[in-house]
Amino acid sequence: MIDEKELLPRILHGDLKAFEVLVKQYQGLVFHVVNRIINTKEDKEDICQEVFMKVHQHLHRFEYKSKLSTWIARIAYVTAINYCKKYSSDNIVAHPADIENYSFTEENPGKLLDKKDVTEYINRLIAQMPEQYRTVLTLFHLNEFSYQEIAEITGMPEGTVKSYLFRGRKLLKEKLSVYLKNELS
Amino acid sequence: MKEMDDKKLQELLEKGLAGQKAGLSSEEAEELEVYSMLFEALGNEPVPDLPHDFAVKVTAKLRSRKQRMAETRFNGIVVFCCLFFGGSSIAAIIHFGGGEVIFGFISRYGTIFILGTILLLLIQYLDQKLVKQALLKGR
Repeated sequence: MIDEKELLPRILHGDLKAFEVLVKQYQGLVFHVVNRIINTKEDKEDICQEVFMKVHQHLHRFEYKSKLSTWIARIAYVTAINYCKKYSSDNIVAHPADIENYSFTEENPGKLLDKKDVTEYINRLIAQMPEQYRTVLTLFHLNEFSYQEIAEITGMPEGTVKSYLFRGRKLLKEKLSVYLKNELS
Repeated sequence: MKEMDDKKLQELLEKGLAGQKAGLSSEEAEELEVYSMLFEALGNEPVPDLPHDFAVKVTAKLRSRKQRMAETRFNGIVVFCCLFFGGSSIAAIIHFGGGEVIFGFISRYGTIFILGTILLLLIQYLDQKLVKQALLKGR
């Protein structure tokens, strides 16, 4: 674990080696956020790079009011969303509230998988979900952010975050139940 | 399954109480099992699909951006100096007619002007060189 209070002043004084340490520390987090929002593999690395360029550019504005990881995740989220809005509007679903009636384009696990791999199946389902659900599920489960931190990152009210998380999991659980029943029968 | 039951089961798992099946119906226990699998799958971290030298690439990009900015600043100052001195000279020549006064002025203080310009360019050159050295040290 890096000591941010020691590292950040070094970066602000132009120490690029120190910034490299920060990039290594948070590249996983940035990738997870970007990965869930952007579907094109080629764009992911470019957007991750862009995120860190922005982090470096605006680091002097970071005031330790939140965790550095929350602040970086917010930049990653906004950068990825803006990219989607600019280049691929298909990724942004306008009405994600109607998740109960959401239909997956590829939900037959038999067609998707050669072997029983729950994680792979779940990831494929998540990839087809509306962006808000993908982000909330990733931030909560993968990056272990709290509801409050997710609200801060995404700009959604905390209640909405809870609701997306609950309904997203419920939908995935229902699909997983069907999948497991099919596997057993 | 009712929404309330799902909520209860999700809360149990969020609190890390997956093993607490006491008080749950067999249907709920079964659902809890599926939820446990789901939570485990959701927590499985995918390997970041980034090159191993990603951090180095980012800092290299930053370096080149900084260098570009420094070069632009240097070029801007050079252009400004050229325009300023060139323009001033032309304006003076035009204003003073034959330019005897300006030539007299230049012959008297010309050395100072030339040395001043050289000094300015030298400062810019050294600034560039030191910036490059500092960048190389940072690698």
